Amino acid sequence: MNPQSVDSKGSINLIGSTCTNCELPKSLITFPRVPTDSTCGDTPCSGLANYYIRDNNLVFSPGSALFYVPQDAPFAAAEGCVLNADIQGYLCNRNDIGVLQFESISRDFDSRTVWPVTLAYDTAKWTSTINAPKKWDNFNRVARFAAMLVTGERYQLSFNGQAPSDMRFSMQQKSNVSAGASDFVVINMTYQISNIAARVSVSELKRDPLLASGSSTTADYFSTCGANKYFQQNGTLSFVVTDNPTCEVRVKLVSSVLISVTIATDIAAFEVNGGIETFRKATARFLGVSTDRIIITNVRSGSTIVDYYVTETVTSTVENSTEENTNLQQVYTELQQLNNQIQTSGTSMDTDGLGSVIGVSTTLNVINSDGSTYVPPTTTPEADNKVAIIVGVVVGVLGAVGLGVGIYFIVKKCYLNKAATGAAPQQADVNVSNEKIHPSENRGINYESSQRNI
Amino acid sequence: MACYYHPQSADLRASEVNYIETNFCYGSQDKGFVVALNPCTGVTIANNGVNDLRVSAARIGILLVGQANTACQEMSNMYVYNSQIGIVANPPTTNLLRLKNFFLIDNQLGLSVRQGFGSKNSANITTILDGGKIELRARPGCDYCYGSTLVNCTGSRGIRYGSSTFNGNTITNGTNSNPDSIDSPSAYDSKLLIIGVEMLNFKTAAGTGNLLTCSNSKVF
Repeated sequence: MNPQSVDSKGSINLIGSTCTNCELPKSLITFPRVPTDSTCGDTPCSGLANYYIRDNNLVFSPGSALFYVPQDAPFAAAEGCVLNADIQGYLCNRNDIGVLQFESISRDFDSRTVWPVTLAYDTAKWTSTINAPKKWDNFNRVARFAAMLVTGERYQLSFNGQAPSDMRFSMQQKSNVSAGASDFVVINMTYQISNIAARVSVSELKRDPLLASGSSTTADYFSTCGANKYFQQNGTLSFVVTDNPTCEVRVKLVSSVLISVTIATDIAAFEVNGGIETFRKATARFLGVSTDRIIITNVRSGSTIVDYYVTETVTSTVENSTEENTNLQQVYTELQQLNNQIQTSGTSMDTDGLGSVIGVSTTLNVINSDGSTYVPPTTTPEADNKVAIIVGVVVGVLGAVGLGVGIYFIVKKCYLNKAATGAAPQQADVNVSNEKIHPSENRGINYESSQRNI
Repeated sequence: MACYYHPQSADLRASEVNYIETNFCYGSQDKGFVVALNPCTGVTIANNGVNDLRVSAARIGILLVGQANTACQEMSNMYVYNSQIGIVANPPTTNLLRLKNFFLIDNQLGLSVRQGFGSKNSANITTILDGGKIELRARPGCDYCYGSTLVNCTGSRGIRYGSSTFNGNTITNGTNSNPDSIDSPSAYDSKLLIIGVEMLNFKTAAGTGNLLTCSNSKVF
């Protein structure tokens, strides 16, 4: 084993290979231990604990072990593997060990710390702590992980902070021949923001979720790559990853409008009349979007309430997602228009015979690449003040000019009257005063009016 | 410093037939052969590419250099005896590396593989060792490949497989004290498949006969 690769190792699969006149297992390997220093930061490097040597034909240790795993493998003792001091590792006589690989493919894949990651076996037998690769000279640490585990089980995956907004998951292949989907894991992941849309896809094709209220679980679909179920209220996503070579599951948080539509029918009639597929098509037609952008997460009673998302259009792929440069303002504007359309005329939507829409509620969620909520730029109070000051100055100057002109004509008139009639000066003062007051009041009204226009 | 140094690929133009085949290198203070891997397609070993290299008593018997942006690369028929490292393969931009039909005998380290790919989003990086032998024989009878001194094979290792790397790293020149060093984060999804490979005489205790000098040897 290369002693430098402390933060990640590929597993080894022995297929039809032999070792003659060898002392096995002690001359197979001495598994290096996980370093206890700070090579990988505050959490130990996890690469040396998350790879295996698989003896596919039981020729290296006939009848006794199929997998050899390091002594630091988190599950080995709890799963009945036998410690062998000579190899500093465990011999596991079972065929359900695999490596789950996952990584962030969002823009902040090498700039936001989401590790350590914990992977907890659903039955609480053991928990694995996975670290990111260490900091190399010319590279930031990247959110890339490999976790050895027992397959056929359900795991809770937790990140340090909000999970990456765009990720991919796959099982490491054990052979160059497709073994079919015999190995699988179910991953449960909870986002820290609720009511956010999580889009699951395989080969860039969206996988529609199982309905949250349905009795089916993702484990029921263990052979279906990307089968998923999403509970929007608490942001919990459950999905299946199989060992099929083509099974790479992408999980992406997407900007969306979350909509709940109430239809005047009962669920049985809703299903008989076409159910969610009819609803999806009718909604897509009503909104003028593709059906690919509609994710229906739940159908519940009372009359019939359909919870669904209309998502942004996803244009990035696994290959270019880290370079994605979405114009969020554009996304916000488009989704806001859809939001307004639903709010103003959603109850008049033609549901293709499913029933009348009698109520809608919506929530607009536009997210940044780190999963936080996007806030569109608005005119700031400082900017408002500046505008007001400028208008005030302009109006003031104009007013002063008008006042000066008025005074000029009044004084001129008085001067002419005095010169012509010899009238008392008090009268002139009153007139001047009236003249002053009247234009001044008008200016005040106009000013306020100007303010209202602004 | 090498018996033969040609880290670029053989010229594959149809008008020319280029092959580097059945060459021998007996003794090198550094590398025996430094050659580029063959692409998996477009080359038939019979009339193009590199094939059948034999080395003994070198520091690195065969250093296999990757070709740029070639998703699948391979090499066949390699024989290395009595060297510090038999084969080093470190193609930086390869999804699939396939080494076929190799014979690595009495090397301190038989094979070192460190694969990579020059893109952060790439996946499915696989090394396949397909048919071959990695043996400890301590065979002094082969004068031209060993000389008359019994080979010391204490502490020998068959295969060193670390991990793929984020950007790969090509080693072609000079004497590098750590030819399979890693300099970047691991790539996503790397694994090694060893198919139909025979290993012989890997023991922790010293053997008998010629194998008296062989102890504490491990496959990995």
